[in-house]
Amino acid sequence: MNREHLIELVFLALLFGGLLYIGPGAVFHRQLSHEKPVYFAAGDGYLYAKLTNYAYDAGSFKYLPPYSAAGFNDSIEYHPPLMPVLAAAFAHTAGLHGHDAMALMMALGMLFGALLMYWLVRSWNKTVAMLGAALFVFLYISRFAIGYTWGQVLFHLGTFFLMALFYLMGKQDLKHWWVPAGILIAGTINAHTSETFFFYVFAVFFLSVKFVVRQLPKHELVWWLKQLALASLLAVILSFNYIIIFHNGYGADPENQLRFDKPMKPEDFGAVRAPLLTDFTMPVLIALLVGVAIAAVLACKQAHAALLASGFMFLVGMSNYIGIESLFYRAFQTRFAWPAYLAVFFGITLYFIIKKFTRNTLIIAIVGIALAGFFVQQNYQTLNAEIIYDQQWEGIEWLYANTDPMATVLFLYGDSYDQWVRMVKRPAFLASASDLVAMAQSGTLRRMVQIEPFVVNDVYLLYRKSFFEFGRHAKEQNITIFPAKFDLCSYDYYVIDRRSAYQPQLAQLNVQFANLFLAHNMTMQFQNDHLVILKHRAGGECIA
Amino acid sequence: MPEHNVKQEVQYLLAGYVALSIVFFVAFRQSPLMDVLRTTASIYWMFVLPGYALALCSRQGFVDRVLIGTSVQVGVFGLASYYLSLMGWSLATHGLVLPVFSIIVGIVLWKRAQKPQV
Repeated sequence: MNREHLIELVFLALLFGGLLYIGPGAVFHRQLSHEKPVYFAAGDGYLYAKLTNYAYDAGSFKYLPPYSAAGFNDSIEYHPPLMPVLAAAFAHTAGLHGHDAMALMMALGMLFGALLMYWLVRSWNKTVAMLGAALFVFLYISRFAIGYTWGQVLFHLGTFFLMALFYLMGKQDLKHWWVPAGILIAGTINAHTSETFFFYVFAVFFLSVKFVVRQLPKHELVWWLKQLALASLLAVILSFNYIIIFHNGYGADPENQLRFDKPMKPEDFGAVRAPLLTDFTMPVLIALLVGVAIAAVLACKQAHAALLASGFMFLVGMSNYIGIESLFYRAFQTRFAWPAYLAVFFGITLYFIIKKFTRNTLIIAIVGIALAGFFVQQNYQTLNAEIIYDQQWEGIEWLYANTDPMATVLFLYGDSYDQWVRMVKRPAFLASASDLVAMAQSGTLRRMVQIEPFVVNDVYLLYRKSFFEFGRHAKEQNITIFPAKFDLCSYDYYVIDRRSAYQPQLAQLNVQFANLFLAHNMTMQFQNDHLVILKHRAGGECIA
Repeated sequence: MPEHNVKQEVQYLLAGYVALSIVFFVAFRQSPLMDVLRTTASIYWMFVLPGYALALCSRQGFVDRVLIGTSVQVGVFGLASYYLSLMGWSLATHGLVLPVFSIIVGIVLWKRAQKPQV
């Protein structure tokens, strides 16, 4: 190993070690193992934590947990299976909780993907790669960090496979290219299917650009088409089960059909706080845009996969302006990985500045690390996504230890319950705080209250009649799986928070309801500083 | 025919394991050392070593093979684990057992690639 390699190795160890430190290390509170998830501030992460924990317990990713499927034990898993399966198997091997393993695999997927992007750029220009890598720290800065802390679980694994495919597109000399490509395409299908779509559009983009700039001789085009066809065939074979489920699940949902709409600005999108280019800060943004312009010129001379992949994902992130409604969410989601995708453009600008002064690898490495450190020093805020209070979790553990696995549990308002109660291993329901307030204000008690059942409801409890034939329990049996008016007195246990950091007046109302319940067929089963858990005598009145 | 200095490359992999463990130990410094070592060993055992073995038959350089091999092994492991668990083999033991198959397949492919072609 020569001096140059050693410098680069130390550079990479410092950079990626630093990323692990400011990202997952911080979100994990510097501990690998936690009884409760501490790294997600939004519901998606808790859904996949639940599914992973169930795969861990059940030993497979075949069925939804019955407690989240209205009691059905044959409602099949329709989510992409790879992350829960990988995380559950990893959890068993590493001795971690399922949710810890999943959050760690998420982080490692993105970091390893960034390393692949680094190595892809390096195969074009090592200096650009080293300078551009400083941009990776934005993965854990500003709105980009939301991709991790809001639990974009499947996106992280899908992005890892997509980055691996980009890397592979730069390895045309690889013998039997279609074999690893087919496995990686299957990876995207089974991890996060939108990345499969992006890969195929990229393949068309890649070949088109090469054709336009006259870098695609006929024999090479034939080679690419043959390899892509074989890879696709392999991917379909490897993914046959999930493709069938996807086609009958998400694929059959009218929500997922192609629809056109007027372009959407990131600021107007409610579901996710989409990162903006300005989140890179203005000097970095200017360097990025200059880099894009230079890269466009350079790509005409050498249409390298690094330039084309990065340029393509820049365009995908801006595709919300095309006006295809189905792309809005994906466009904004893709932006979470922009720090890895766009690093090459940042590196190009710096390269054209710095090459006038030096080409010394040690100095380049020092500049790269110094820039990364500067970005952290200027923009980084310690990540803390924990939303579950210890006393709330104490109550959940009491439920696990003392109640029947299918005992129904109604939660009254509690801080962040709307995000994380979905991961509780019991049939869980959340009463609408606004409806309870309305009832209190009207002065008239009523049993029918707006309540949200935490059922995994996207595809109406899909089940398999035969290998190719599917049914939907919720539709066939007319089961209410969405928020609706339910009988307030029809649950086995009631979890009632007595304190709230965000809505203390609701906590006061909770206490009044707890007293009311205690006077009507309920008994106190558990209490701590924060909450009480009541048990309801079956079939009895609870409010009057 | 791929001629790799496997002995030296295994030393590189071991050095990589030590480096990964140090980085993990710093990032997760409130975890017991054994937890960190077990976690990094699991990453290596499940993904890196089998990935390296699977890519041995390739003529690419060492780093390229580790990167491609590890990426592919994540897919191979995940897909194999998914289907095997659907067939009733609990994924609780997959992390220990499945990498062995990848390593064996990788070594067999490598040995076959080393045989002189007629």
